Amino acid sequence: MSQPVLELRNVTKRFGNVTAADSISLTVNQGEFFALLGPSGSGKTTMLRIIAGLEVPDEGGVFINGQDVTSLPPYARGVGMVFQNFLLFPHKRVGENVVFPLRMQGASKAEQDERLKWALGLLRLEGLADRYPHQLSGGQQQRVALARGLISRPALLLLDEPLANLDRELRKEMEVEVRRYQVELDIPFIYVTHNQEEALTMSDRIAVMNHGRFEQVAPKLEVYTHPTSRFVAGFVGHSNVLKGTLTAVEGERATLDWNGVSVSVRAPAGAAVGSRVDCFIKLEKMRVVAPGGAAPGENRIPGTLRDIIFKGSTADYLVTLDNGAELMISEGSETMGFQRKDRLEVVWAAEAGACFPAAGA
Amino acid sequence: MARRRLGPEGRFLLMALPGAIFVVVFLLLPILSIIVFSFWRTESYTLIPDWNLDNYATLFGTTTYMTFLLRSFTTAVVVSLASLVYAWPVAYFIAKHGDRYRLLLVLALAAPFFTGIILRVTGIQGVMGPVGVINLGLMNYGLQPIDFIMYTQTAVGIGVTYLFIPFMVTAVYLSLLNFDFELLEVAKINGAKPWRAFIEITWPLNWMGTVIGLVLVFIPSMAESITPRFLGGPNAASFGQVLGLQFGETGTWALGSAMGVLLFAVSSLVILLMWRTVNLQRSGFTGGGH
Repeated sequence: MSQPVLELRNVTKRFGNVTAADSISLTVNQGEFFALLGPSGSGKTTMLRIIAGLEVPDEGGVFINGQDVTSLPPYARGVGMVFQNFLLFPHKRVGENVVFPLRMQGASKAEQDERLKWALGLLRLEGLADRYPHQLSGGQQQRVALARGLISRPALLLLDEPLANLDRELRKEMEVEVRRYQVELDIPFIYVTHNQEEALTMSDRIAVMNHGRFEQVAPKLEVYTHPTSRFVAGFVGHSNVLKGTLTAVEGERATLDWNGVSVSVRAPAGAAVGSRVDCFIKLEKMRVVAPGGAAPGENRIPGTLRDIIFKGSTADYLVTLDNGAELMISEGSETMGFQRKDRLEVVWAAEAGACFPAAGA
Repeated sequence: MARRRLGPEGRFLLMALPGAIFVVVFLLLPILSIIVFSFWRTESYTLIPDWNLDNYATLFGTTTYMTFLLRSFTTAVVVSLASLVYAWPVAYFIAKHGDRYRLLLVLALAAPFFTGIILRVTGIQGVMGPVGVINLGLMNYGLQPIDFIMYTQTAVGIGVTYLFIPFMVTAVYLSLLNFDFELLEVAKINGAKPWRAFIEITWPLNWMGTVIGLVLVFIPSMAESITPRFLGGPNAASFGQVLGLQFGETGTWALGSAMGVLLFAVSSLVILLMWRTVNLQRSGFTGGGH
C-alpha cells in the first residue's frame, strides 16, 4: 500500500467554547476525490484551513506525503486552494494571477510560460490571459482560480465550496469539469461543501461532518445507502422519517408501531422492544401502486394521493395515508396515470432504509 | 398652470450646483485674484494695477527666495516620506486588529487637532525645546541636551511631521478598510512569504490611498509657516513664513501673490506627478470598467 498523500492524526481545534475539530483522523490517497460534507458551522472549513496551514491545530498532526507539516506556514506546504468567493488578485491580469504560485517558487520564465499555457488550455481560458478579473464572468473567474490552484502541481488541491457562488446551470457543468480535471491530474482533491448533490456527483469518498466530528467516512454509495448515524441518514439524500416505537425485534428485522400502523423495518443496532426509533426511508425506495395484492417482506399502506409535483425526469407523489401521516414518494414521471384524490397504496421493502434511536432518547 | 418637472439634465445640474459654487467661490476666484495681483505692483500698502513681471523677476532672481522654496520643498518631501513610514504600520494595526475600537483609535490620533495649531506647536516645543521635557530630563541626569532638536531644521521637520501625520494615517486606514485581507491568505497558500505578499498584494492595492495621504501631507507641509516660526532657528525660515510676511509686516501684496502662485504651481505639479503613478486597473479599481 502506497503512502497516503494526506494524513491527519487526532487533530483538535477549539475556538473558545466551540470545538471546530474534535480529534479528527483521516487519510487521503493519491488520485482520490474526497468530499467533506456538512452543514454550515460543522467545522469542515476549519479542517481545510488546518490542512492549508491557515490555522494551527491545538492538538494532533498534519502529514503531507509522510512529512510532518503541522507547524509549517502555508507558503511552505505546496498545497493549492480554491475559494468560494474566487479571491483572484483584482490588480493582476488573468495570466499574472494564474502564474503567481510559480513566480513565488522562483520558477524560470520559460517554465512559467509553458505551465501557464498548459493551465489556460486545461481550463479553456485561452485568449483571456490579458483580462482583469472584473472583466470575467463568475464561471470564468472560478476557472481562473482553479488554474491558479493547479498550475504548480500541488501535492493536493483544497476546494472550499468553490461552486457555491455560481448559478445552478453553471454549477452542474462545473461539477463535471472539476471531476474531469481531478481524474486527468490524478492528484487528491479535498472538496468542502454543504451541498450533498455536489458531494455525491463528484467524489469517491465522503466524510459527513457535524459538530467538529466525522459522523461517517465511506465511499459515497455506502454513505448514501448505508448511513451509520441518524445525522447522516437525515443529511444525505431525501427521506421520509417514520417516528415510532419498536413492538418486536427478530434478528435483522423489527416491527415498528408508526402512528397505529405496523411496519417492518431493519432493526437498529442494540434495538430493544419498546424503544423509540426514527426510520429513514429514501423517497425513491418507495413506490405508489393501485390498491390490492401484496408480496411478502413488503410494507403496504393505503392512502390518498394529495398532489403530484412534476420535476421533469421524476415526479414527487404526496400521499396522505389513512393513519393521517404524509409521505413523499419519488417516481419516474411517466409512470401510471394517477390523479389527485385517487386511492392507492404506498409500497416499500422492509430492508429499505435505516432506523436509529430517536433524537434525545 | 401646470408645474413643470425638472428633466434628468435639470436634476443633474441642481445636484452639481453646490459643489460648483464651492469650487468657484473658494478655489477659482481666490486663485484668479492672486494670479492677477502677482502681475501688479504694491506701493505704500496699496495694489496698483500696473501690469508687469517684476515680482517674478525678483522671486527667481533672488537666491534667498529660491533657498526658502527649496528648503520648504525638501522639508515637505522628507516629512511626507517620514509620515508614510510611520503611518503605515499604525494604520495597518488599527485596520487589522482594532476591531470595534477602530474608529476610536483613529479619532485618538486626531485628538491633537482639537487644540488648534498654535497650541499643538507650543506643545511640541515643550517636548523638544531647551526647557522641554526631553532636554530637561537629560540635564537632570547630568547628560548633554540634544542640540539638533532645538531651533533647527530637524526640529521643524519633526514638528511638521507630527502636525500632519494624522492625515496620512487616516488615508491609509481608510484604504485598508476596503482591502480584503483574505487575499493575503491566498497569496501565502500560493507560496508567498509574508513580506512578499505585502509587496505583491497589500502595497499595490493600497497605493491610491497612500498617494492621497502623501498629497494630503505634502501640500500643507510645503506651505507651513507656523511651525518654523516656533521651532525653527534663524536658518530655518520657510517659504510659507516669508510669504506670510509679504501680506503682513512688509505689505508687499503683489510679491506675496507671486509667491503664492509659485507655491500653487509647485504643489499642483507634485499632485499631477503623484496621480500619474496611479493606474486604476493596477489599484484593483473595478468600478465602471466593463
